[in-house]
Amino acid sequence: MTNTLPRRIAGLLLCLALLALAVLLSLAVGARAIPFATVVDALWHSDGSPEAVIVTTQRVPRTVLGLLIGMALGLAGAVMQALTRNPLADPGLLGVNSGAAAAVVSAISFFGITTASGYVWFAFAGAAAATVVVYLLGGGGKGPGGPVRLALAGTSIGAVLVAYTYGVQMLDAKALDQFRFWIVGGLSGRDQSVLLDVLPFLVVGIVIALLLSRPLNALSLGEDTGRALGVNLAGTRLASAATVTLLCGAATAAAGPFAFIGLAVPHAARALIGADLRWVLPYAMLLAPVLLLGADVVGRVVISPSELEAGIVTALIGAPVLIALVRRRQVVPL
Amino acid sequence: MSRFTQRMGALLAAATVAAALGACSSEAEPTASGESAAPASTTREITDASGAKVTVPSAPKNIVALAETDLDAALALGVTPIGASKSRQGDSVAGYLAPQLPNVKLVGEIVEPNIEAIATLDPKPDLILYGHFLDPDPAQIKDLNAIAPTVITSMVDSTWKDSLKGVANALNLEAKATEVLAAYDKKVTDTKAAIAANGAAKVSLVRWNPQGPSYLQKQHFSSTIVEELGLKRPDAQLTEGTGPSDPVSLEKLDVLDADYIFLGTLNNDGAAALEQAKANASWNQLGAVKANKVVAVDGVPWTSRGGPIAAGIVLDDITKTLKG
Repeated sequence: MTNTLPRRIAGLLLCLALLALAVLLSLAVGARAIPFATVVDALWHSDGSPEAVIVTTQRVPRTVLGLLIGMALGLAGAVMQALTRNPLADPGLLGVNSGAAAAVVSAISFFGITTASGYVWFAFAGAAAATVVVYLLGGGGKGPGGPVRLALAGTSIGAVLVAYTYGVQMLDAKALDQFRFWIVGGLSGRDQSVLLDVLPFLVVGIVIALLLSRPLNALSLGEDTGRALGVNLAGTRLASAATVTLLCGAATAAAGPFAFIGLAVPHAARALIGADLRWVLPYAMLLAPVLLLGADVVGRVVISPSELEAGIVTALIGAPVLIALVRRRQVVPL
Repeated sequence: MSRFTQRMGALLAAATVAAALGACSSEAEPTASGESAAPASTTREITDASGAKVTVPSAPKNIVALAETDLDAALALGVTPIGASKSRQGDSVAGYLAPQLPNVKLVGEIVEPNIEAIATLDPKPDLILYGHFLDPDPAQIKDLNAIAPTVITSMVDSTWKDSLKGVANALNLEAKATEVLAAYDKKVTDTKAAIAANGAAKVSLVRWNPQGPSYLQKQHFSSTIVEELGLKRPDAQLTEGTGPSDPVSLEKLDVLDADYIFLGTLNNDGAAALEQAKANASWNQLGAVKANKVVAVDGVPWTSRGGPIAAGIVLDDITKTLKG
């Protein structure tokens, strides 16, 4: 196991290199074959040719979107698993995804909103509202059994919201058509203004998540030890829940709910680096966008001239990697 | 999941209806055995599009049309159905047909007929037209036949003309169908003459969905009309299929380019589709867009499986756009 400091740093640099490669592929590869030199030219000075327009108005925005959303989901997943001390927790467990989905389907069906920039605040508000309700019902995850109570509250509220979402879709065929596109999660054709809308939330969320690594480490040692170490437990829990909501709510609002990334990447990070959150968080932050951008690139080329949504490809290519990792190494406990 | 729930609902409804009908038929048995003596209207046996033999009324009065193409065909033949499926665009029948159907009852979604709604129609239906862009579902057919004779009017790869003939066969209106088709042929000839100046134009047929744009494939309803007019299509749009293509990647919008682009959506709001398209920089680089030759059309007659009335709308739109 790579436990020594130099090896951990080397691993981090390797993750960074992988991420750089993923970004490069995302800029260079697409449904339309564009020579690499043209891509590079377009990045420096767009000459207005169809190829340059595709690079600057489609590949660059979707790469930036994938990068930020990947980071957000990876961090949100790692924080969520530490907060609930549940290795099967994903960011959706606090009701973020189901709350956003319920709000978006309502926006489509009751308010006739049909554009991504119209959904974004509904999605965000829905995610936030669901999280607050889950957090309060779950008693903030305090005390022995607290994480389990939080997880159960999240599962129950999630089930109610999913039922509501299906109900609206069944009664309104038009909502079904619009919504089934949003629900898959994808990076293509997303309105650029949407990314700008949620950018501040993503940046703040990423910074807070990284700052939480030390207190969350203490929390994972158990209530008493944590308190003995002088960590404000209630404050840490609240900040963690708020961060997950910011990160996952903003990501979901911008590109739809992505399953799997938030669950799988923290596991992969722990398999590589151990349970110390000071390392798990940065590793998850760098590896999640590798998976997301990689999935997006694969989705662009497999069925050209059509595309597969990244949300569909993510699990298909991510699951074998995760299974291989956890089979070769022991699953690292939280 | 939603499909599953719908199916469960339909199944429950079907079970209820079947039970009710079971009770009815046992009471009605004596009259049924004395059929020849009954003064009931005459029936005839026909072979439907699936090859099944169906006994239908010689002059059906209360007709249910489950597919838009059949609804269109029935109206063109001068018959007003009493029940029809909801259009995909929302809570009524297709917008271009709605004015002719002020009293129609909605009997379910386009591929999910609501058996209970059909069974409780008043007056009771005496013929159900079952035309589908999916393979016929034997369970549905069985349930529907328990209510009224159900005729499969078309199969997945049928053309709209086949559908029209299937409907005419069921309604005993074959002569009228020949007239409708002759009128269509004349309209094609007239349109050709009207657009002769633009006869060599290449036209692109596009449906802009929430998932992005599709083009209409080679055997699609509107594609066949364009072909009869002798108009050309971009080569990339001539893929085999009766439906719209899979959504085209936003990087490959060049497959949508032509001299003229006819653009619609799944609902009838072609203008909204155009707005969505205009937000895309690559779209604005297409030749037809630069030349201002994009026409927003009602996507319902244009991009679904139409009938003679929809075909008339398509021809009118083309005439308006391409006439000299």
